[in-house]
Amino acid sequence: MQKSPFQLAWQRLLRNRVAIIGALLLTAIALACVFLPFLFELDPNLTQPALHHQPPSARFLFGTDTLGRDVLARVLVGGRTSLLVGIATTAVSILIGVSYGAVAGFYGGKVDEAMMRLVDFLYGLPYMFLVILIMLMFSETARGDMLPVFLALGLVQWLTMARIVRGQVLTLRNQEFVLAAELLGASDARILIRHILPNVLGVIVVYGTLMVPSVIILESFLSFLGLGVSLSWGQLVSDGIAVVNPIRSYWWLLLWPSLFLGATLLCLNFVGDGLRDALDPKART
Amino acid sequence: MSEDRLRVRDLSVRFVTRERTVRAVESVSFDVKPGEVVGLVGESGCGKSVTSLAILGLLEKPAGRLTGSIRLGENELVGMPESGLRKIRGNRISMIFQDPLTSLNPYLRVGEQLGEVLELHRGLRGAPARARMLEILSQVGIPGEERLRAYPHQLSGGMRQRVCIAMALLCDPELLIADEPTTMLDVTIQAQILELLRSLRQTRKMSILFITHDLGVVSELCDRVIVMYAGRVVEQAPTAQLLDSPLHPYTEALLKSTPRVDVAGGGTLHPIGGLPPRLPDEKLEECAFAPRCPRVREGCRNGEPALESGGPERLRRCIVPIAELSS
Amino acid sequence: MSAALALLFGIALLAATAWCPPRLTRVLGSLLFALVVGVVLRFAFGISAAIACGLVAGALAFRFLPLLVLRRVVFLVPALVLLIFATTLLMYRAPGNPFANERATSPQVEAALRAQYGVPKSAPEFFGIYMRRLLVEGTLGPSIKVQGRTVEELIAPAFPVSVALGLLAMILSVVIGLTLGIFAGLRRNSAADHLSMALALFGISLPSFVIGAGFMIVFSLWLGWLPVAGWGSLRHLVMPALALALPNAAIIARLARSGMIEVMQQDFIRTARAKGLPESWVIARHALRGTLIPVVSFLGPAAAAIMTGSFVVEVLFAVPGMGQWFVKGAINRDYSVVLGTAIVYFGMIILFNLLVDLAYAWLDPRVRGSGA
Repeated sequence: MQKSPFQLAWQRLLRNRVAIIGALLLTAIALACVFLPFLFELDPNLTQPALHHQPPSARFLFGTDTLGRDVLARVLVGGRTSLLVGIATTAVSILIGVSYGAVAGFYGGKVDEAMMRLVDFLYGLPYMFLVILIMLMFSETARGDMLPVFLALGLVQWLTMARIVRGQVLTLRNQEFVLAAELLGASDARILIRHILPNVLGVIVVYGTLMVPSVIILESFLSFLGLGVSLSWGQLVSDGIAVVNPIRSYWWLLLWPSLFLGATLLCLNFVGDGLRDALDPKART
Repeated sequence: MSEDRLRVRDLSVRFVTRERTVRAVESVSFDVKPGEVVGLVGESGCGKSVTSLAILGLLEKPAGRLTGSIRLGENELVGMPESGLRKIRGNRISMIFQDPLTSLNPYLRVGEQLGEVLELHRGLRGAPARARMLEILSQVGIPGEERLRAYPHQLSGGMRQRVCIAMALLCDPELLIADEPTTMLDVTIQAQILELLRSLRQTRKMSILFITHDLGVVSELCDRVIVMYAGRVVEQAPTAQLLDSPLHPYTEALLKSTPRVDVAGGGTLHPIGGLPPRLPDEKLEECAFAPRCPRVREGCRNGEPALESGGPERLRRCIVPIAELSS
Repeated sequence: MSAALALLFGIALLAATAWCPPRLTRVLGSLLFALVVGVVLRFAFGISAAIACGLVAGALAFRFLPLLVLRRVVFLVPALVLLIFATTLLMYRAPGNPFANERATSPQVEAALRAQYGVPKSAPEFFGIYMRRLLVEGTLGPSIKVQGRTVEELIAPAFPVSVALGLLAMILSVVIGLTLGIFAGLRRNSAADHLSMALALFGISLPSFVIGAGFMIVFSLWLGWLPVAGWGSLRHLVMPALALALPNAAIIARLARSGMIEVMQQDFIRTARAKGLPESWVIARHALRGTLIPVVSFLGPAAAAIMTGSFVVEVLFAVPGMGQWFVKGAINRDYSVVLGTAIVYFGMIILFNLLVDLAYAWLDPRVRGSGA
């Protein structure tokens, strides 16, 4: 029996050892961040000033920070935030981006040109501008929260997805199977949803996966500037950098969050690359 | 007998990869005489292109392995170091390919691409180079300074192929290998290109190894034909005789499946049943064509037939008696 | 409400420039070009000189500039104006205002301050005042938080710093990325290839300030080779530029590698070899252009990424660039500073993207004819 393209792609993916390792590691990290704090009753916010700046020990596996808080707890709970921001923002961007791009690509011509000019314009701006300005729209108290951050990031990230989807839809639009559907009398919506989108799905999955790391990095930038979520990996790294000095480097404040951040991003990139290779082997280099 | 321009003896090409070894060309031998046009005919995948690439040493590395002998005049090309081969390519042996659009570099002007060859092999630059280029361009039928400044995408398909031919002729090669040069062109343009090749052969005494799957083109242009199947030579003959009285069932079948202008209604087309063979990894235990041959019999499966004479200047690899084969 | 409508109208207008016919584009483009040149010169010279030079520039543009460039101008100048408007609206939406400090300011004092700095209560009014100041007086306005200084006085010393850093970072990304990528592409599937791509993957997987902090710790604190932070000598430039460059270098390496591999599989490479060209010619004369094209396409986004990263890197390494002014201005609600830095950044990006477009057209002759 012939396998469907998706099944073939899945098989190719499973053969990609690096991607599989990445996916497993990613899952491990995610599970650790979600469940370990509950299991071991770790509290990221418990300040014990007397125990400040302690290097890693049996009691505090990752050491303590300036206020005596358990770094392990903070890294794990912060991880929840970073991962959540990454995934949620990507989900929002996908939603907006795919709709916009599909419409532009489908109708083509001047409609497409006009729609994409806006995208090109916004795309060319340093997104930090927009993000920072949007962040500032929220009051001081709201700033440590997740919602403003993920709105700000999502509003900027949808551009990439829109561009990619539009490109794909544009190409697919002119292929014969679409013309065939039109001749059979299918409505625009039907063609879009039943014929075109399944073929775009692959691209969406690949670039969606690759978008998560870039969102997490953007959030860490915001944290560094003091505009991010109150407890995330980016924030922890930023705090760690703040206390670095030539005498005591307090390396554990910087190392653990960086390690988790780097590992997660690396795994996401591995998986994203693996997905891309699986779904389009011709593009494999 | 005059000195052969090209002598190929027992040429075998294997492609070795981790998964399998493919014997693309098996013990092929033929000659090309000065001024002769030899056609190399067969289905896609029969090894004709590989043979031509092997002559120039352009096989994919490191998978392609070559054994046998290829002599260009005095020189043995097999085993020649790359530096020596490079002096021959574009110089004594030139090659033109199937798709003129992709064969030319889209980012460079025609003049630059032609000029490279002159710079490399003749040390010509500047005015003398331009003069030579213009000379050749008018010989192939596209005269004019502005051609040199043009980019490939600005030219039509026929013109592009002429540019490729010009590029191949710049150094007056002894042998031109043409790998299906007209397949991608319209029929009318095809006729023009064939006409061009014919006239060039007249004026330059250049030998041409013309690779094609189209017997019609063969009848127009070639003096002799070599028919290949599954990497081996199955028949060799002067063109007229081959078309008139083929001595191998495969050649017969090819002729029967070619539409004829001289028969009312084009004649009945008889396709060759079955699929083209997968090129084998070991030596064959039977005739390669046996699975699809309409004349197959007992003896065909007892080992591969040898290439034997079927008359003056004719070779065939088949055990079916000649008398049985209709004209 | 009406402001939002005006914004939407502006965006629609911007989109509508897609329909501009070539003749109109040339005229409009040259006029806008003249305007921009005039405004820029206004900062240095008097009004009549600026107008005169602007007109000359416009005439030259009409005659000589390619349609490609003029189309961009027609789109980007209104876009810039729209950007200023949108930024103004956004800033006004933010809670707090520049004149509210810890001590309660009486309404009269606030009104007086507002009049002095030209910062009325409504965004559109401010926009009007700002644009008039920009076009007629040739100034970016007074800074609200830094007494007695205009915005241009504040950012003038910071501008060359940011440009130097950004330019160096860009050059480093291209050089490192291209070298690594071409090398990997030519030695596909070899150990060197896998190693290079692994390195590239690491470059993408860490935010630039983490890389920067790593450098700081290793090269400054442990090895003492380079100064920790600050500005002044070439040695101060190294770490920040590298930290900014590496993520982009990684992406460029990947692009160059796949570009190289794809080009080497093209038919015309086979033709080049069949002509007897030595491999070095094949790569340098034939393969390289095709490889560069995807890289050049990326340079626009790369510039934006470097600009984004520069905010963070400048803070980390205490580099006195424009980034700090933008962030400070935004936090302090110093509207003019925010707008001033935004305009400068945006201008730089436009210029850079224009150069990239021209480079692309030069590299790929198939693009040239359309003048898109």
